[in-house]
This record gives sequence, structure tokens and C-alpha cells, in this order.
Amino acid sequence: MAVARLGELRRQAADPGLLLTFLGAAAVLGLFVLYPAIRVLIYPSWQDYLGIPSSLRWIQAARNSLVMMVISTASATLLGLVFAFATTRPDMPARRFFRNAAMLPLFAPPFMVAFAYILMFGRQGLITRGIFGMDVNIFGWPGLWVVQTIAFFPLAMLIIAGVLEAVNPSLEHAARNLGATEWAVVRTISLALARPGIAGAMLVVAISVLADFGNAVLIAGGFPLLATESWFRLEGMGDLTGAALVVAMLVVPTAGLFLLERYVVARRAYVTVTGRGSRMERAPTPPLLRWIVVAICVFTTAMIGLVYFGVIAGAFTAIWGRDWSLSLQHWHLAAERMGSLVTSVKIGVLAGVITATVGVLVAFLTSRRLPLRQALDFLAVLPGALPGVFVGVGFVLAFNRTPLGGTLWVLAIALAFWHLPMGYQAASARLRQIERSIEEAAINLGASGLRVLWDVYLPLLLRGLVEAFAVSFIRAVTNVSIVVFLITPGQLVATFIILGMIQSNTWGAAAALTTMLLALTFVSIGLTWLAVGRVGRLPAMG
Amino acid sequence: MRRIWIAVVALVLVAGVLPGGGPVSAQPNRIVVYSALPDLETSLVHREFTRRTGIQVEALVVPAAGTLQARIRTEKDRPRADVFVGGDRSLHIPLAREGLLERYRSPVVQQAGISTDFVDPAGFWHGWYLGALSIIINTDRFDRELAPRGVRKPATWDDLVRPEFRGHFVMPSPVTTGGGYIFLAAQIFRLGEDRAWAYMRALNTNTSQYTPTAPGTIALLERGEATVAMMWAHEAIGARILRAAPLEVIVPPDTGFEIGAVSIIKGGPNPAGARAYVDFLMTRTPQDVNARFGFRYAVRGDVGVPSGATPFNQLKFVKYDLDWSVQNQARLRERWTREIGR
Amino acid sequence: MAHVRLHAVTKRFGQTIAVDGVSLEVPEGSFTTLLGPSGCGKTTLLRMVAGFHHPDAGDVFVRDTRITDVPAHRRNTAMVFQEYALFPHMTVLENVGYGLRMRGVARSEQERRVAQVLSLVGLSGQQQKFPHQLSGGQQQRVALARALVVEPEVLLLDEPLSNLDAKLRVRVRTEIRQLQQQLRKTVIYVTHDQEEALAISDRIAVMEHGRIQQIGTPLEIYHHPANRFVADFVGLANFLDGEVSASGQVRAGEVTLAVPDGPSPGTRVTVVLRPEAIRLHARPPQDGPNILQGRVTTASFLGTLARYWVAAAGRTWIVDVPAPGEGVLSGEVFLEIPRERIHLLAAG
Repeated sequence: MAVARLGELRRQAADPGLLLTFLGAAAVLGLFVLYPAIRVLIYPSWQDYLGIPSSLRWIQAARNSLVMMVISTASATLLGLVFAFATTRPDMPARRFFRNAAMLPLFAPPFMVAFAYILMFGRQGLITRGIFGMDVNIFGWPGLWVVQTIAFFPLAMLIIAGVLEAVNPSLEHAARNLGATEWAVVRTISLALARPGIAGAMLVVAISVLADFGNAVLIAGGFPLLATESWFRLEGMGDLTGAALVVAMLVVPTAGLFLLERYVVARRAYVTVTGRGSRMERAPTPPLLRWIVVAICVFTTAMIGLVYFGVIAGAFTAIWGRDWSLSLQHWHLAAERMGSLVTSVKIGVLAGVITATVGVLVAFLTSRRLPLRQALDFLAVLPGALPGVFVGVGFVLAFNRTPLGGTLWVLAIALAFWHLPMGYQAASARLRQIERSIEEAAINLGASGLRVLWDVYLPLLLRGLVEAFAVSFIRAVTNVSIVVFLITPGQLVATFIILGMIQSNTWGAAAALTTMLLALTFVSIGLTWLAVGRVGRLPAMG
Repeated sequence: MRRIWIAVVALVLVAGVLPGGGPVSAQPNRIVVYSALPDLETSLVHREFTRRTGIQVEALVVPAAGTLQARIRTEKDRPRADVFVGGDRSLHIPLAREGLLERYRSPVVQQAGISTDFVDPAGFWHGWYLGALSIIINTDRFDRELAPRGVRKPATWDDLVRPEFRGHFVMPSPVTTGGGYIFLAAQIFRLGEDRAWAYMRALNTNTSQYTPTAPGTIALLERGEATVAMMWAHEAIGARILRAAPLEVIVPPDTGFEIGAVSIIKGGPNPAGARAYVDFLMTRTPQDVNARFGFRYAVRGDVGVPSGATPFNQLKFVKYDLDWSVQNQARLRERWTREIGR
Repeated sequence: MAHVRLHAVTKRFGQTIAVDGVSLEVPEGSFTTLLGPSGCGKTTLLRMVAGFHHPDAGDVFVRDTRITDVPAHRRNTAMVFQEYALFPHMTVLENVGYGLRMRGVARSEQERRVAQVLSLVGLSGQQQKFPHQLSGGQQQRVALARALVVEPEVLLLDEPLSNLDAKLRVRVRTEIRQLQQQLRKTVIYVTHDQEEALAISDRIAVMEHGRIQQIGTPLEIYHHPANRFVADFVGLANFLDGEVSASGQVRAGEVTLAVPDGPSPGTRVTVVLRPEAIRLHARPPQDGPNILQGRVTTASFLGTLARYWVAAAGRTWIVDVPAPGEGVLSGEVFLEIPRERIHLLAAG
């Protein structure tokens, strides 16, 4: 066995370019993923860790976080399932519309949903007070539950939709042929085969719920949660040790969920990718089910619409809740802070490029038969288990003393690597779709490992590269949790300014700047897709 | 196609390295300030400072002194900021004890006749504004809900534990905010520790929320999510004047106060500039700005009282033992968490 | 000297032995086919020549140079893949020219050689098309051209026709053979289709369970199969297990047949009889050895011949009768088995 390994290594040496790239990638990942994480975990002392159970507030926070995790995950996954169903069955109406609507919360900064809901449904809310004249308190866990459901169901939808689409239609036809009613087909075939996808979605959403604090900060009120605790430790008390402790506590469940998803659920995929993509139609959806699903989708879309409407309305209202007159004064204030938007874009672009490049490179490397590629794969997806605050603290501890510290770069790198798993997994999935024999043909004709990447994979993965870039860009531009730790006076980004504005109660300006940020995000993505459309007009694969 | 990608990447790298991308190195005419005061006051003060001295200011404004404290701690091996401004002195003192601050005694203090009560005898911090803890009422809600039942407006701290305020009260958390903690300490100085804890427990039955951040209390009160609050007077006055919030400020006797401080960070990029900054804050203009736009009291005698506020020397403060409050901070917070813990 | 030589090559995947100590010599300029059912190891063997698998034991030689450890991209063993594996984002010109580009050939020279090889495979003028704009047959030719243009030592083809429909398959295989003979290229060809193998090969290596069962010319394989597997895999056959009862005579079940001389009495043998070797008569033929009476159970008309399943002497016989102009027979028939057409195998 060892002899075989050695022989294998010797053969890898014949392709030195590839081996070097592999080592380089491993070093980069180790430096920017593993090292900061370790720094956080070793910052508190042993005694600090042992003191955790005796801290009442932290135990409460932990309990509350777990409760929220359960209920928000359940509702978000359920809603995601409904939407996934609505957007993948060909006989459902307005599929494109619902899918696009469902994606909207993903573009919004983490606190936007909470902010908008306070504007809409709070005591001064447009809907609750303005229209219905009600006096409602949405703070605390009920409000957070609603907000988190809306904020995170798109994640669930994307994952489950992917799995539902992969269910071979001929299975459904076979079931019908054997006498199953439409309901039975949905229940026993379509949904049953999608179960691993649903489980996977739940785990991913759960991690997001646990780590969420943009929304929690605004709407949880006095309800202590782990994610917000670390923030408050820092903000209120300057207690870095406490923050590190709480954040380390948070990593335990998120890492656990992550491992569960990766090594248990992902293995159980029953659905085989048919590869050639069957052109067969699906069995029809029972009409009653169709109506229920559509109703839910319409209602949810309206809720999402309220989020965007709320923020835009807030930007134009003189004093929300008291003076409903139209006003442009907030825009003046926001315009003074436009520099922050430029900074946001700069960082977003940097982060996006890094994620796309590293993601595709690592995806390529892990598809080779190189030793220790499992380790590389693990490092590339590890950031998915880490909450943003954890990464933020880690990077501060790890790089402050280095030349990187205090620059635009450390923030961009932190964001880029935190979002690496998305880029990496998207690229890997696309890579797997490319027939192996194409690569072998290139090798057969004389291309070495790296040339194969350059000549064959990159052009075919262009779309994947752009997707990775786009996702990383959006999330970098709207990020709050990492920004707040790594921000420097010269590089103030929009989300940071906005959060400060919300906290100092200048809502109008916050809404105006948020609106600008949103517009910027959408425009940038639009431009990117246009660029790809021109350049990446590749024939469909297979 | 590949060429386009390379072009994009190159463009991006260039963009990143262009001015604005490099590390923040303070040149002789630039200082870096971490400010816990809101954006408006901070930028006005800094504009004046630049006009007066020619030194550019790069400010990081985080309305939470705790975060800035943490940043200063983590950056201690390579401090990036010159000055830490804002927040009560009790937030600066721990940094001094950890050796992170630079001693300085501004000559302006003597020249202006500023009371030495407002300046650290050891020279680590200078106070330049004052705040008073007060009771704030949302008159809108009070008049609608409580007044008809014959409830009188609270005038003292003890009034707050009256049963008719059950569920109507909010205040900042003593654990995560400076103001909340000063309130707790003030009660201990007022009542003695045991009775103070009884008071806090009684108050707790009326409290609907302990906000994790100080501005959060005002936010809730403004929006009518609560009727009565304990908060810095200047926050309420600001909300009332700038945002037409229906808030009334009542400063009870035996109240607590803050001395807003500024300190110089040890090993910062531009120590001379930092000293100039401290000197500047001791002059009239910035304190005037803070009074007019931030509604905070000035430590100088020649600055006008903030609009709508009672002069500071007319307020009745509890005898506050700063050293004791700093030394017992951890213990008291832990006990509060255990006994009340919300 | 053999052009390509495999010496005691073994390859394992986990617990399975895919190729088990195979030795093979491929003469220069010959068309050698690896034939066998799926899982027999033929593709693995081919891929070891290409360098995609490294043998666990044994060696690969090209002109007596040991290339076992040479990585795949440094070998000059161009391959045509089953799925063609054309680069979808490159034009025909770029696809075919890819190998030349890897070898550092100048652009103008690339274009010249590509044009040359395209005309060879009948695709002149298609340089600017993309693979998805071509038919299956055209794509296959591009794949072939791409492999030929680099002038490889040996050309490897991995079931290149399996994605074409039947009629096209026949036409294209002939073209491939013609091209090979014209260029005098050494070719190693892999297929599971025995008719294809018989049609175009100089030599066939029949494989099963990772071992070569027999190597020989198509005629040898067909008429003198070395064992039951080869006999059964290549073409159809009637098998009778029996014993040599006397010199030139085998007794198998109810039947006693006159067979060619050879094995001594008492030897256990298997009689192999091709369907076309048996003569079918409607009326009893003149007296002779090996005449059996039977009944037709099923008959199929296959165009060039009629195939009968005849029950006689306690078993079913498959009989092929060429050019049945008069229609198919039925009912009672007589089988005549010429002695010299019987092939004997050692039993087991």
C-alpha cells in the first residue's frame, strides 16, 4: 500500500505544475481558513471555557438559540419546500415569477428584513398602526421567527428545488402506470425521493439561523441569543474574551450540523443525475395542491414585497410613524455617505474575484487524483460551518500584526474565504457535469494537468465562475458580521454606516442608504450577467 | 474570453491597490480617531479640528464604546488609532490599567479653568462633556394610557417601582451598556448594596426589556414600545428636537452621571496630532458643538446649556465612588445576571 | 519486433481483478482488436496502453522502450473515445489542432495539417463548425481526425461506433479499416461486437475475466475456437458434451457422431458445430454418416438466410440455411452434419 502511494507520488512529480498548485492552494486555505479559526479558539484560557456553564445568561442564550433554530428552520424549510415545489413542476403557474421573488431576500442585507418589518408591523408600523390602527409588539421571538423564516426560506428553496428537479420523471410515470393517484405520486415518489435534499436544506438553514444576528439585533429585543451575545459582549463591555467564548460556543452546533449534512445526509442521495436530462414531462399535480401552493406563494411574495416597499418608503418619509409627508431630506444625508457605497463595491469585487478564482481552482484540484485532496475539500467547505462573527474575530486576531492588517485586503480576503464554500461547491457541481473523457482526450493529446484546467475546464466553467463571483459579491456587499470587526476608518462600507444609522435612530437616512445599496447590488449583478451573456455563449453541454 | 477574465482580475487588483486600498498610515498631518459619539457630532467636531489645525481626521464611528474598547485591545501590538473619544471615563480607565493609553496633561485645562474633577489625575483621560441619567416618558402613550387612570408622572427613582408602571419600563442593560451599569452603581451608592438589589428586583417586575445597546432604549421609547425609560437625558432631548419624538425628560434627585472622556492610545501613529486633538476638545468650539447638536453638557463653564435642559450644576447627583464602581464592575454585573439576568 | 507489447500486465480495482497477467504483442501496421463482453478488461487494457491506468504488475513497451511509468500526456498514443469527447467550446479546427498545439506546432502548419486530415476523413471545409452543429457520424470523424493528425505511434479506439445506429456502423467501420490500411497505422481497437471484430481486424484477442482466451486471425477464431467461451462468444454454435467412444466417433447423449480423427477414445470432449455447417433436408438424404431426423420448432427469416431451431435426437439444434428463396421449411426435416465441419474442444 505504502509502495503504491509512493509510486503514485512519483508519478505526480511528473506533473510538477499541478502538484505545486495543489500545495499552494492548501497553504492559502490553511492560512485564511484554518489559522484564524484556531486563533479564536485558543484566545480564551481553559478556565474561561470551564466557566461557561456557570454563566446564566450564556446558558439562556444557548437555549434560546437552539429553540429559534428549531422553529425557524422548520418554518423556513417548509416554506422553501412549497416554493421549490411551485417552481419545479411544469404545470404550476408563474414559476419564473415566484422563483425570482423568492430570491429577493437573498439580496438584502442581513438586517433589512427585520428593519422593514419594524417599519411595517411595529407599533408605529404602516400596516399595524397606519392601516389597522393596532397597537402591536412584534419584538422578541415571535417577530424574529417571522423575520428569519422570510429571510432564510430562499436557501431551502434552492436546495430542495435542485433535488426535486433531479427526480427522474419516468419514475413518476411508472408509479401512475401502476395505479397511483396524483396525490400518491407526489407523496410517495416525488417528495420521498427528495427527502435527503429536504434534510440537507434543513441543516443549511439551521446554521444560518444560529449564526444570524443582523435580524436578531434589531428585532429580538431582550431575548438573548448566542450570535448577538458575542456582539454585545464586544459592543457593550469590550470583552473580547467573552466574545470569543460565546462565538466558540456557537461553533459547536454549527459545526455539528455541518458535519451531519456533509457526511450523513449528502451520502444518502437516492436521486441519480440522469445526465442526459430527460425531456419527459412530469405527472400532473393534483389541482387542490396546486391551489394551496399558489396561495402560499402569493402570500409570501407579498410579504417579501413589503420588505422592499418598507425600506424604500422609509427613505421618503419625513419622520416614520409621526410625519408621513414625503421628504427628500434623508437622501441628502445618505448622499454624503456615497463614498461608502464605492468602498462596498470595491470590496465586493475583490472578494468576488478571490472566491471565484480560488473556488474554481480548488474544485479542479479536488477532482484530480491527488493525495490528501480530502483535506483540501474539507478546508474549502469548512467556512460554511463558521458564523460570521467567528471569522471576523479570527481574522482580527490572526492578521492584525501583519502588513495585511488594517487594509482593504484583509476585509476582502475574510469575506472571500467565508463565502468560498458556495463558489467551490457550485464549481464542483459544474465540473462533475463535464464528461471525464473530454479531459482524458486533452491529456491524451499532450496536455498536462494545468493545461487541462486552462484549455478545457475554465472555458466550460465560465458560467460557474461568474455565478461564484456574483454570490460572493452580493454577500460581501451586504455583509455586516465580518465588516464590523475588520473595518478601518479609511474603508467604511455602506452596511456599517447603515447599521450605525439604525442604531442611532436616524432611520430615514438608513433607509435611503439601504435603497441605494440595493440598487447598486442589482445593477452590478445585471451588468455581470450581460457581460457573461456576450462572452460565454457556449453550446449546451450534452 | 480568457483574456477578458485576466483583464478583469488585473483591473480589480489595480483598483484595490489604488489610494484607499493601502494600509492606513498616518502622515504627519493626519490622525485616526475611534469615536463612540454619533456621526453628526463627530463629523462636525472633526471638521472644526481640521480647520483649526490643518490635521486631517479619519474617524471610525461606532456608537458603542465597548466595541471600540475591544478593537483597541486587539490592536495593542500595532495600534492603528491615535485617539479614543466618547463614552464615560469608566470605559477608558480599564484600558489605562492595561497600559494601552498614553499619559498627557493638556495645558488648556488650567487655562480654561476646567474643574479637576473632570480630568484624570493620572493623566490618562480628559473629560469634555457630561451626561445625566434621567427618567424619560413617552408623553403620547402616557397621556393615552396611564394619565386617565390617575397615574402621576414619576419624579424620583423610587417612583419607578410603583405597580402602575408594570410592563411599561425599559432601560439599557447594566451588563452590556455603560449607562445601565452607572445606573446600577448609582442605586448602590444611593441605597447601600442590599437595598439597592431589592430595588433592582422590584424594578425588574416593571421592566419589559433591558436593551442591549443604549440607543436601543430611546428607539423603543420613541416608537411607543414603552412608556417610561431610564436613559441619558441628552439622548431624549435630541430625539425630541431632531425627530419630534413625544418625550419628556425628568431628572430625579440622586441621579448618576457620566463624564464623557477622550484618551490617547499608546503607540498610535501620530502622538503629536493626538495631543493636539485633546487640547482641541478642551477648547470651547467642540464642546459648544456637542451641546448644540448632541445636547450634552460641556465641562467648560463658558458653554451654553443644551436647549431644553436644566443646567448641570442644578442637578442633584448621588455621591459616586468611581474607583469602587470600576473595581466591582465584574462582580456586580455577574450578580445582576444571576439574580435578574435578562 | 512488435510495435506495442504488453508483458504480464495486471490491474486491480479494489478487490476486483480487471486485467489478470495479460501478455500481448501487437505487430506494426496491424489492426488488432480486443473483443469481449462488458467487464472482461478490454477497455482497461486499452487505457493502460494510453496511460490512464498504471499497471499493478507488468509492463508496457513501445518499440522495446518501456513506457509503463511515462505519464499519459507524454505518450504518443492518440485515442478515439467512445463518446468522442470533442471539446464543445472549440471549433473543429481547434479540436483537431489541439494535439498539434500541445506539441508546439506553428499555427499555419497546424491549419495545413488539419485541412489535410479532414479531407482524409471526408470533412473538408468544416473547420469553423462547433461539435454541436455536426451529426453523430461527423463528430466521430472529427474525433478520428484529431487522433490521426498527431501521427501517433499507435492509434487506440475505444468502441468508437457504439453511439451510431446500425447502418452507419457498418459503413463507418469499413471506412476506418480502409483508412488504417491506407496509412499503415498500428491500431488497437476495442469492441464487444463480434461481427465488427471479424469484419475489420487482422488479429483478434478474445478476452474474458481479465484474461486473453485466444488470439488469432478472424478465421482462426471463428473456425478453430480454443475454448467454449470463444466458440460461444464469436458467432453462434451448437454444443454437445460427450465422450470419444471410438477413434473418429463421439457419443453425446442420444447421438453418436462421426468426427475428425484426433483424440483417443475415452477423452471427454465438447463438439462445436456452426449453424451454417449443418445441411437441412426436407426429405431423407442419401445415406451417410451423421444424419438425424427431427422437427422444426421455430423458424426465422433473416433475409440472407433462414434460421431454424430443430428438435432432433433429444435436443435443439440451430441450423442456418443460406438464401432461402423458396420460403421456410416446417414440420419434419433431416439434418446432415458433414464430418469435416465438426470442431472438437477438450471438455471443461
